[in-house]
Amino acid sequence: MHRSSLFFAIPLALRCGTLVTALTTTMAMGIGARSHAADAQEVKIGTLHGQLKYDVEEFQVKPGATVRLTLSNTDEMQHNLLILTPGEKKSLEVAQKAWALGADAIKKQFVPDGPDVLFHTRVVDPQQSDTITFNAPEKEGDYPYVCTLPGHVFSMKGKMRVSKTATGAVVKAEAKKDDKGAAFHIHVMDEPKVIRAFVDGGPARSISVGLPGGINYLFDASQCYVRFGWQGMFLDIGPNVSNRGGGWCQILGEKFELGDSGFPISIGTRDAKHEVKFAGYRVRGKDAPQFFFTIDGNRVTQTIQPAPKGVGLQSEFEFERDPGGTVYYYVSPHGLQLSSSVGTWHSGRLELQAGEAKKFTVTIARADKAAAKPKTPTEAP
Amino acid sequence: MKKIIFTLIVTALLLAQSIAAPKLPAGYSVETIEIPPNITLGVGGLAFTPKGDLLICTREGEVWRYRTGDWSLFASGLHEALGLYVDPKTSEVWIMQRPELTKLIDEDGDGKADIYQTVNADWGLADNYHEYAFGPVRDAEGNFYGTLNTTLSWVGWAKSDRWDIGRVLDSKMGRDVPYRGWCFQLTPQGKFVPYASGLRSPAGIAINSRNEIFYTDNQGDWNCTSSLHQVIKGRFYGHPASLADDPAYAGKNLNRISAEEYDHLRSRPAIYLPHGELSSSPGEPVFDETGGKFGPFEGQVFIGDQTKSNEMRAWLEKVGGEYQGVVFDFVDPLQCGVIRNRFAPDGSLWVGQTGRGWRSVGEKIFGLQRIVWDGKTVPMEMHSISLTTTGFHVQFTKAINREAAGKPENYAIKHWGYIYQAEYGSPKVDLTELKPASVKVSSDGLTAELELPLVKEQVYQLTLNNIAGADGAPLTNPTGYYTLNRLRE
Repeated sequence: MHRSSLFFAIPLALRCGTLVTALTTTMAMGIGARSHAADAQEVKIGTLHGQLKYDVEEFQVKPGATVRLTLSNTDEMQHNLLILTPGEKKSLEVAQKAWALGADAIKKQFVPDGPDVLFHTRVVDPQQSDTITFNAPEKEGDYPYVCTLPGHVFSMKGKMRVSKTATGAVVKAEAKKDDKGAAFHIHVMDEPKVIRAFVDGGPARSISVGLPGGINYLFDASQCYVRFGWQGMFLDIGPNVSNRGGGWCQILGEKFELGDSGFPISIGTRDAKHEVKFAGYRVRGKDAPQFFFTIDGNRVTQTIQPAPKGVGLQSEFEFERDPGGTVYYYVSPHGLQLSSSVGTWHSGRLELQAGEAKKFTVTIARADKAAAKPKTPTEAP
Repeated sequence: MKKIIFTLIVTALLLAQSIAAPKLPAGYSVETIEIPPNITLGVGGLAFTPKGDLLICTREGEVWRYRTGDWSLFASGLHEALGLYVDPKTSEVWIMQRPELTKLIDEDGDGKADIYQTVNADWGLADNYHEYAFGPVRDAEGNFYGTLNTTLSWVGWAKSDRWDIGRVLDSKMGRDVPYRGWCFQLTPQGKFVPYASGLRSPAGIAINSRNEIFYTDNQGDWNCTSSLHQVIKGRFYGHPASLADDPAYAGKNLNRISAEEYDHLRSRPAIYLPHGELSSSPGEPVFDETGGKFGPFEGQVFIGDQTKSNEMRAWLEKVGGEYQGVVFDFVDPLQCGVIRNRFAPDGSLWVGQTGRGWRSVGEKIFGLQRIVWDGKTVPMEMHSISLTTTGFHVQFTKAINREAAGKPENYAIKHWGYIYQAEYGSPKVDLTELKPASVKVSSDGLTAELELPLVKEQVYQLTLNNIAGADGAPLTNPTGYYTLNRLRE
C-alpha cells in the first residue's frame, strides 16, 4: 500500500498555520507542582506507527513523585497526551469535550477546560516530541491518559498507576506485526473531507463527510438524505485503496442515529411520493459541504453543519422555487432532540405551512440525558 | 583473473540491460515521469487540457494536474475515477467514477474543483467491487459514451453476498443491477440510452475522428480471448448476462437459451488480442491521429495491457462492411500495467499505469510514462497486414531485404479458431501451421504479397524469420496477428 497525499496533507496544514499557542512546560505542570527535574522519574512514551496507539499502556509512579514525561511522536499524524482524574469513562468524556471545542480545538491543543485534566502535553507533530514535568497526585489510584485528537480515544489510551509500591515498571504495547491490507485512516483537521466509496453499512452510492471537530455523516446519493452520523475519527479507506479496491470502508467513530426513516420530505400531502434525483455537491475550503438534489424538478440545496449543541447535525434546506404547498419533514424521533427554524413538530413530523418552507433549518441531535430538560417536540393533538 | 571479472561484469551488465530495457522500435524512446512521493497515482484516466496541462484521475479517487514537473490536486474523494474527458474548447472536465458521470467545476477559479455535479447516474450499482464504469468518450454531436463492467460472480472473491445474481449458464460474471455489461450513450439532453450489450470487462473505450467507437474486453467467460470491438448501436457482443436489461428478452429465462443461439446473436470482435502471448488484460485503445508526429503509424490504434505492461499497435480495415485487422506488439514491457493511453499535443504517447490488485509485469504499483518518436527515424516494422482474395498483403515501413523476404520458408504462419463458451477463455482449436504457396516482393521492397489458403473465423499469426530491412535493420516486432472474420469477396 502506498500512502496517498491525503495522508500528509493534514498534519502539514496544521504545522503551517495553527500551532500558535504552544504551551510551555511550566504551564503544563500541575498546580502547585514542585519541580525537582534533577531527580525526576523519567517516563518515555512513543506512538506506534499507523496503529493509533501509545507504545506504553501503563506506567507506575509513587505518590507525589516528580515525573518527567516525554511524548515522542513517531506516527505520521498528530497526537497529544492528557493525564486525567480517575474514572472508567473519563477518557471518552474528556475526548468528546475536546472534539466539541470546534474551531477552538486547535488553539487549545485539544485540551478542554475543567478539573478532569491534570496534566497534558501540547499537540505533537509527527517526528516531534514534547516533555512535561509534574508532581504525581498524592492519592493512590489509576489515572487514565488519552489522546484527544478526533477519534483517537478508542485505542490511544493508557493508565498511570499511582502507588506507594510503584516499581517504575512500564507495560509496553504490542506492535501489530502483520500489516497486510493495511488500514488507511483519513483524518479531518480544519477543513471538511468528502469521500465517495463503499462504506460498511451504507448504500453503494455513499458519500462520507468528515467535519472538523469529530462529527461525521453519511449522505445517501441514491435517495438524497443523510443516513446516519458518527462521532470521532473519520474513515478507514484501506479497503477501497488496497489490493483490488472496492472493499467497504469502515467508519471509525461511534455511530449516532439521525432518525433515518427514508427520504424525509413530502410536499402537498403527508404521504406524497416524489421523484428525487441527486445533483451533486459543493465542497470548498472550510465551508460547510452542500448537497444538491431535485424534488420533482425543483432544486434543493442542503447545507449541513454540526448541531450547535450536542451530538448531531443541522441542515438548512433551500428550495430554488417555493414548494407551494405544505411541506412535511419526517424523522424517526426516538432518542433524538428535534428542532427547526420554522414549522410545528408533531412527534417525528415537522409541518411547514405553505409559504414558510422555501428555506428552513432542521436540527437533529442525540437526546442528552444530562441536559436540564430535553426540548421535546410538541405532541400531535 | 582480470579477464574473468571483466567478463562477469559485462555479462551482468548485458543481463541487467536485457531485463530492464523494453523492446523498442528504432526512433522511439520511453521517458518515465517522476511522481512525488506523497502521490499515489493508480491511473484511471488521462486527458490534456487546451492549455496543454495533463489531467490524471486515479483509482484512489483523485484528479491531478501535471505540467512538466509541477503537480497540483484538482479534485479528490471520487469513487474510483477510471476516466475523464476535457472539452477541447471550453476546458470543462467530466469524470467517470463508479457511481456516476460527474462534471467537475472550479467555481472560484482557485485551481481546485468545488462543485461535483452529477451528470448521470442511471445505471445500477451494488457493493460488488467489479462493477466498474469506464469512459467517457464524446462524439461530434456531444453524446457521451461509457462502458459498464459485469458483476463479479465468483463466490469468495466478490465479497458481496449478491455474487450469485444474473449469471447465465453458470458463467463467472453476472448482472445483479441494471445495465451491467452495457455500453451506454448519454445525449446532450441528459438522456441515458442503453446502446449495446454483451460486454464483459470493457476497461478501455476510444473514439476516432470519424466518430467510430471501439472498446477492449478482457478474456473470460463468453470471451475466448481478449479483444477489440467496434461498438454499433443495438448490437450484442457476446456476454449474455447483460440481456436481462434488453426489452426484447423481458420475461425470458436467459438460462434456457443455448450457447449456440447466443453465438448466432453476437457480433465478433474486430481484432483478437491473443491471451498470454500478446495481451492479458487490455486497457484503453487510442487512435494515432497526430498527423505523423508519432511516426509512420497514422490512423492506427495503440492499446496498452494492464498485466503484460506492453503497448500494442493495431491496424484496421473494412472487409464485407465490418472492421477486422491485425495487431502487433509495439513496446514491451513498460514499467508496469498499462491501462490508459493519450496522445499529447506534441504527438508523444502518454501511458498511465497501475499494477495494484492484479499485479503486472514490472515492480511498480503505479506510474506514468511517455513514448516519444524522434521525428525522423523510420523503424523497421510491418506497417500493416491486409487481406486479399488470395492471401495477405504485407506493408513494410521501409524497404525490406527483397531476397530474404521473397522466400516462402521465411514465413511461419499459424491459424486457429476459438470456442465461444460460458467457461473462462478458450484454447486454440484447429491449430494449423503452413507456409505461403508463394511470395512476391515489390521492386521497392515495401510490400510482400503472400499466397495461401484462407479460412474465415480464424486468427492468422504471421512470423517473419530471417528477414531484415534492406539496410540490415531487423524487424523489432516480427509477428502479426490478423483476425480473419470475413473473407474478401
